[in-house]
Amino acid sequence: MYYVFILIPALVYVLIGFYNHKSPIFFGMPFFYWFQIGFLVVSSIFYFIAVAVSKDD
Amino acid sequence: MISILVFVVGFLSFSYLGIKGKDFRPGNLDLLHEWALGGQRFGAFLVWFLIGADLFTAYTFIAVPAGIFAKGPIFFFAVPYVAIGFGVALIVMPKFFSISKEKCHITAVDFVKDLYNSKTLAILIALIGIIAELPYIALQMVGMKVVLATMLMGFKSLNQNLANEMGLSIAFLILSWFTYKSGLRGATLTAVLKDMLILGTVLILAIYIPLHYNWFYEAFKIKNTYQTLNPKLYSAYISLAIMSALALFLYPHAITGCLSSEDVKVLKKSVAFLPIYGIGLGILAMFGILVYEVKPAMDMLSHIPASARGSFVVPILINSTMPSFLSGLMLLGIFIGGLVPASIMAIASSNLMVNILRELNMTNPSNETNLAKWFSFLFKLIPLMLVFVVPPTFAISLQLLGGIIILQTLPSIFLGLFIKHLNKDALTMGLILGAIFGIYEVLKINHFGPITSTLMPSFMGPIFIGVYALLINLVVVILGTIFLNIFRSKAQ
Repeated sequence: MYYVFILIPALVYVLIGFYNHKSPIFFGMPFFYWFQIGFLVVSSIFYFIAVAVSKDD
Repeated sequence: MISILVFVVGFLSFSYLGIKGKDFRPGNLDLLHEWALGGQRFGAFLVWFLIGADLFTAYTFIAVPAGIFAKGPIFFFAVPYVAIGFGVALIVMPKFFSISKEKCHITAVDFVKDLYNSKTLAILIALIGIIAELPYIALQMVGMKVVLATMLMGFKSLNQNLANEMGLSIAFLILSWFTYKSGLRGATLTAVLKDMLILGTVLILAIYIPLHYNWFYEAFKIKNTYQTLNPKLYSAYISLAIMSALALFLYPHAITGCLSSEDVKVLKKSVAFLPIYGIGLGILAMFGILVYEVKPAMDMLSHIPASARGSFVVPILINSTMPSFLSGLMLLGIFIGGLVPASIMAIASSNLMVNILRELNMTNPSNETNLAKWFSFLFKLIPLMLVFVVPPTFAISLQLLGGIIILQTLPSIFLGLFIKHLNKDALTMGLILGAIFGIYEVLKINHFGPITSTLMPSFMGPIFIGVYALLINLVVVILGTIFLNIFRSKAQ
């Protein structure tokens, strides 16, 4: 079931409508850009959880 | 002048490291898995670097910024592509690794051959791997050429084209020599150096330029259509991201990187942390927009023909804002950023060539390693010729086509890990039909001229052609397997 943790980041990226906005602006960067870069870190955390959980398999 | 001096001295030390690589965790380099997979003794940190090195290639610092520079946010799909790609890897690669390690497989073709026992399918998959890889290597050389051209821009009296081609040829010879000598070990050690240089470059540029040029405010004022993605392009954005993510670990060089890991735990850990590596890619992509507010860079760019301008964004950004010592180091980073992946890709392709010859009974275990070493030379020579003879846009066109056909190997490689008893003839038919459809559709959409688009209309809006090609492939594989298995059980 650790696949769930892997699918969550993909699902978030697919829902473009949620992050395709100008604001909040971060140092002049529209939300669209900095959200996607920032979410790479979150993806890594999810993947790390998946790896930790999958140890039993 | 100083920047060129730094570049040359740096390049020589880099080459020395590459050649010394053979003494790194030494092994018998006459054995294929020692040469091609570094003896499978790489730990989490090195595997992280080696797979990550596949990410920081000319695609990342030449093609992606160029795309954003010219067409805007649609090319930012590279960021979700990276995030999702490593998710896919986390699902399929540990399984693939365990099987391959147990049976001493070196390539995906070894795996396919073992699973389905079909010569035709094995040869087809090897051929597709090589065909998809060659333009990818050519793209690396385009990147290296752009770096040299940027450095030579100041020398008006020089025959720049000649100097550029000579520089590239010398780099090619050194690269071939150390690939031949130290195999994947050389590539890994240099990958560490290259990524340090690139990460440093990205960080310094990402801090210095926004600080000196009013953050991103000015750039997005100049290009205000780039602020968000046009909702009409959602389907294109998502399909490009997901299909590229699925293709990422079908490329022979990505598989090589994974198989070099010492065990499955190491592999999982490194892959989980790889999206972090993608932050560099995201920042590099942003340079494609940031450059609009950097006046000296825009001035330099205006001297370059419009069709090639985008490729110069990052090298010129470095050249026009950094002091010459730093600029030499940074351009070196980008230059070897093309060189090292080219080496890894050539190793992967030559392993596939050995697969083909083995199927044709043209090898024996004693000469396979030697053959692979010589083919790795050939697979760098062909792209080099390609870069000299045809315009750079052509290499990029071929690379887009490569992405579509490599996807067609997905059912045989990934699906076979999870579904047993897939029929080998159904897989072969699916692969051929998917590839033919994909190639034909791309050529048709681009009116049989240079390839600039890989999108086709669909009921959801424009969509990546790879989606349909893969769907056709999957339908043929599934229906074919059901039909042929029923047929076979009736016959018995």
